[in-house]
Amino acid sequence: MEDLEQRIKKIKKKLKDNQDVISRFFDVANTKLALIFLKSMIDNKLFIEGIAAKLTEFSKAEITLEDLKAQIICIEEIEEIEENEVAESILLGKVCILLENNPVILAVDIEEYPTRVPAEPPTSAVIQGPREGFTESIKTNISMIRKRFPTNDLKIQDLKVGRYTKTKIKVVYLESIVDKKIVKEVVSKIKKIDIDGVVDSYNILEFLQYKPNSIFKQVGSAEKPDIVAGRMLEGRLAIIVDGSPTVLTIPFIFLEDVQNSNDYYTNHHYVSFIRIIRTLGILTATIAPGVFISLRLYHYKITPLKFLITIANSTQGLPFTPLIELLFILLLFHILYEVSLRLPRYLGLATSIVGALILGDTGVKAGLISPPGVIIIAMSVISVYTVPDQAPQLTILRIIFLLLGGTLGILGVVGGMIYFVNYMNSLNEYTAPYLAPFSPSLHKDFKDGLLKSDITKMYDRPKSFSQKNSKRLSNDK
Amino acid sequence: MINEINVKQAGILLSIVMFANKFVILPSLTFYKAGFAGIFVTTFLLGLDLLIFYLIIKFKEKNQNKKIDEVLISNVGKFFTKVVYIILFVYFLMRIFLLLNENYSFLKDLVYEDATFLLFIVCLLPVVNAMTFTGIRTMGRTAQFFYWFIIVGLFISLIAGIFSSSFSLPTIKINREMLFAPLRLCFWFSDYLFFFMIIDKIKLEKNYGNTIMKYLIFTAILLVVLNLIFVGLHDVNTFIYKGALADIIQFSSISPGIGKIDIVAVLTKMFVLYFQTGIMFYCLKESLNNIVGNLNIYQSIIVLDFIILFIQYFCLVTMEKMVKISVTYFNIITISFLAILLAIFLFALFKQKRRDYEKIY
Repeated sequence: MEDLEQRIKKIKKKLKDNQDVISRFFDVANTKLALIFLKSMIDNKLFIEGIAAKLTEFSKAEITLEDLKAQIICIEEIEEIEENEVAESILLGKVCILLENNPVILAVDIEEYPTRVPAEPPTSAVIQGPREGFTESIKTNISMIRKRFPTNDLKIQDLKVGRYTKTKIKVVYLESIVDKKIVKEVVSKIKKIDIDGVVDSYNILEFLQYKPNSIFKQVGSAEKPDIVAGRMLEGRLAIIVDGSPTVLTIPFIFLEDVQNSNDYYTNHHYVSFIRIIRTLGILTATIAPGVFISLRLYHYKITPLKFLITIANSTQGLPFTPLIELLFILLLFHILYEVSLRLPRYLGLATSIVGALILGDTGVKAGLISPPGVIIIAMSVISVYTVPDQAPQLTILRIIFLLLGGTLGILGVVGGMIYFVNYMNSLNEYTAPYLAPFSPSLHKDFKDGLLKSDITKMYDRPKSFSQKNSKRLSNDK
Repeated sequence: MINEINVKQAGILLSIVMFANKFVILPSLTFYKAGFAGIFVTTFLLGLDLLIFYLIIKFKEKNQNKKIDEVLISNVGKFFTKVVYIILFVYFLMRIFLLLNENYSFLKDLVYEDATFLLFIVCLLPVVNAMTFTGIRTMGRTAQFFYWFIIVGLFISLIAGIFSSSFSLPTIKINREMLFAPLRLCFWFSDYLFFFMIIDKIKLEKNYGNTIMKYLIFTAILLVVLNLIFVGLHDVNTFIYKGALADIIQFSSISPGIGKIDIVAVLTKMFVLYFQTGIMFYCLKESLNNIVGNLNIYQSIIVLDFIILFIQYFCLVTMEKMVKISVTYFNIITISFLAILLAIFLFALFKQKRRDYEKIY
């Protein structure tokens, strides 16, 4: 057998002589040992106290692998690997211990990389309820879910995707609730992904969708562990991707985005009211500009006279047609939105002033755009954020409905609505009807639908998802 | 995905079909043909439809494993089955033309001032094609999604009519015309024919017949009430008004706080129109497949679009023409077709009974 130095050299060569690969040789009792690891990927404190210091404490004449395993302190399991697996283990943040005259190598997982502390995600802020959010570390994310389910029912399947990134993916579910067919389908879909790299959960999202080309979102996402735990209790599974603070949940239904984690920590009467407001928000965000333009262009007969006179007065002398005018305002808004997202915060304020005062107000005064046009577009754009998770879809739909209203009138807008609802109804991903519980009508799920009843009446899990065990609340007195 | 609908969705689709052609020009036409006894004509024809629906449901319940085309083939043979489907195809096609033209005329009068038929068809056909393409299950779900909006729209319109200052309960007078009017107007009813095309797609569940009949009776009651309110509002001038639902709401306002609500009737009509055309188009596709046999979904849709556009533009179909034909020629076709179907089903039932009798003895 080759001596230790030769073996280390070979491993380093395999790692293409990376500068941050460190190797250390020890003479412990009468045995020669070598340690090899990536210094940027390990927990230094644990390395010194749990491995290096422990190696010097041996008093026996000869050391075996079993002795080493017993002596080393580490949280993860110590693996025994072959020489051809060493390079990959090192790259995953493991410390590999090689023993003279022993082909078996020990891989100790003390991986650590910089990560931020759990904080409230900006898009899922709540007034009441838990505020912690997922981070980019898969370990932290798993621990946040584990904390909520101290049960042996919680199952975690480990997967790896990405030829270069070898990203860790974990499929998490409650075994006694989830439909195993869905788990099998999801796991097989993830295993089939052969891509160079996965840097965020979004990279695998499109592989999990039945219709990846669709404008409609078909996989759920959440940035808070309480939301994911709630969904898992409904019989869904979660997919956690290392490096991403967004956890994917499957199956997905449209209603999910109308619901908010705050809904479960507030009085249910108020929640019902808020959900109606969100639904109206969706309608305003998508069809308001289309309806407005069709009434303005085609349908004088069904428009109330006073409203018509007000619109006519304020749109007199505009150089553009109503459709071009609204498209222009919309374009202006989206440019300002993109700019304000990317500018430093102090410049963002300046952009708002330029947008609201200079472009908006001066545009109206100059007679280029009309006040009703600005109001309608502003109202529509703001309404999108009643359901922030649906913002990209609603934005695209708004443009489509605006074009339909401007070219075909109200009949076109109604046709568009039916077309898109019909399309959404054709999505039946992972056995969950997209528009459940409304179509098909699942009366039991109405308890947590558009209106919400109190938790004491929710005896069953939602019928919208297939699951093994549908009983949620015991009704034994 | 299994292309089946549940009984509720079937009830909703049939309810929407039953609304077809009945709240635009028909109430006015009924008044024109039978005067103040028109309400009896509508009730009689709706009652007849309900009865036939009931008989079909009972027939299906007794022959759960048999498909309609199998029943037809085993009783009248392959050739006559094709003939039946050809007649059904013509019937559906004519109903679609009647629907399109009366609604085009309605929308042109009330909503669009200078819209062409092309704009109207450009709005309708792509949506209808998409509905047919995605299949009956998706269509059923979509109809279920919008059904209660449609019903709420109808209720608002009817309530607005009752609240109108010119509304008074109509005086119903019996006359001789009411005996002949059903023969002239039967083409506008006979909605059970659509049932034949979807009956095999309905998942047989508990209370199958009851659920479907509940929806149909509810629809029939709404239509009778609509006729009553329409006549009650316009009295002797009823025959002048050609857009029943909109003409109920046009001169009414529930309260000064709410103001003008014509748009409710217009939107309700539009939603109903899309679904009615969708179901009719689906039935057309199904009957075409039964006639030709080997067309895929794309080919069927293209052929049907072409037929509709060709007839509409080259035969210069208008609402006036369609109304005239429907009260003269098509009512004869409808009655003869009803007679043929009844004969087939009675024959099938008779054969069934004889087989049962032979089994016992």
